[in-house]
Amino acid sequence: MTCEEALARLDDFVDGELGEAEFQDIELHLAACAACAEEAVELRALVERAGRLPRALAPERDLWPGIAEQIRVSQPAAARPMWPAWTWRALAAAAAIMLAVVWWRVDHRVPPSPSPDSAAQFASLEIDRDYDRAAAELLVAVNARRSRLTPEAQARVDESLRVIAQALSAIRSELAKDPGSPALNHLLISVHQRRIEVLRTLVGLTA
Amino acid sequence: MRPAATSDSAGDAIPARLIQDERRSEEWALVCRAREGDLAAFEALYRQHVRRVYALCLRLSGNSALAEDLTQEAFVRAWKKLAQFRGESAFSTWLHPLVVNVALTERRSRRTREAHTFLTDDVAAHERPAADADPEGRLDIERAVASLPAGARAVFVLHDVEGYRHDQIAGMTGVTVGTSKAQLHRARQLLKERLAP
Repeated sequence: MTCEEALARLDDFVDGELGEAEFQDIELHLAACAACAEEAVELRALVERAGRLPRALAPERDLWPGIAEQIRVSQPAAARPMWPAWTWRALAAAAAIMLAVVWWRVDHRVPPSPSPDSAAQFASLEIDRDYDRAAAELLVAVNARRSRLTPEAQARVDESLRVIAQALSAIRSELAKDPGSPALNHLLISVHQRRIEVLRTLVGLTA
Repeated sequence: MRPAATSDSAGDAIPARLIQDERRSEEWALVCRAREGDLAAFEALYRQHVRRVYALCLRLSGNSALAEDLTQEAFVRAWKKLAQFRGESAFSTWLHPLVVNVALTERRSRRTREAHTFLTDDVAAHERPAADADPEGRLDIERAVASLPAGARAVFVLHDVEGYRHDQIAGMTGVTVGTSKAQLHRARQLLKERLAP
């Protein structure tokens, strides 16, 4: 490699934009050529110096009054529905708490009921299905408005609903073993009710 | 017994991510309020970002009075275009290319209106510290950058100060990657000459 060829690639070399083979070719040349090595040292020093410059500088005067004045005489910003950050945080926290409560109650559940009431079991299954249907309808409305949420908010909503679904799944699994447990049936309904509340809130906020 | 379908991490992971995302969430909340016409929310965004925006305008223009005008124009334009920011990135990631566009458009329009010479001491004189308060010679390099030809200066500022890649610079300035690299090479060579002892 000639000095001319090496110097032509020196910027890319210093910026780390060369492939492995070319990088090594330049390194070999620099090891053998003091003049080009000196160029590389100077170039690297300049780049490092530029990188240390402060990326924030305060203007000498407050520029806001002029900006506010120009905005006031211009058209208002396009209005879009607001999605307060606290809402999805509260939603995620509620879902996490709900799951924790389910864990605790399932961990400390009473022993299986000695004589499960088949009529009560049937009623419980019906209620479970009714709540699922209501939740599915509300979810359709929420999904239709997803584009009004930031990608992060959408991810949090999905995460929260997934956690609630996990809680319901865990309760149903325990109920299959102990269908007559009043505590588990009560817990199932209360988690369903919370999910409906959450979905209704989401529909209202994204409307 | 703990249900197998759940895991210990579910309850803990959400608050951790919430803390990590909190700043972005607060910023997004300000953007949403500003979109609805809340000028106080937009002022809060301005206060958070004005120093970065002004520094960029100052270095791209090389003139403090022009940098103030460009900063104001950039924020007014950001206000008008807020509906286009969808929250996929940090607000600054959306704002800074807009600022570059404002600054470079102004440069082009000025070039066609008049034979313009930038006041190259403005950037260096910006903070006017005593000589012994500038041991790294920051003012020397600021002054040298401000004296560069406009195209080379823009690429140097965007690449070596702001950290953009050549393809990003090409997208923002409307030149090819090859031209961006050539301008950077020219800027660095000129700076080495002008900063040589």
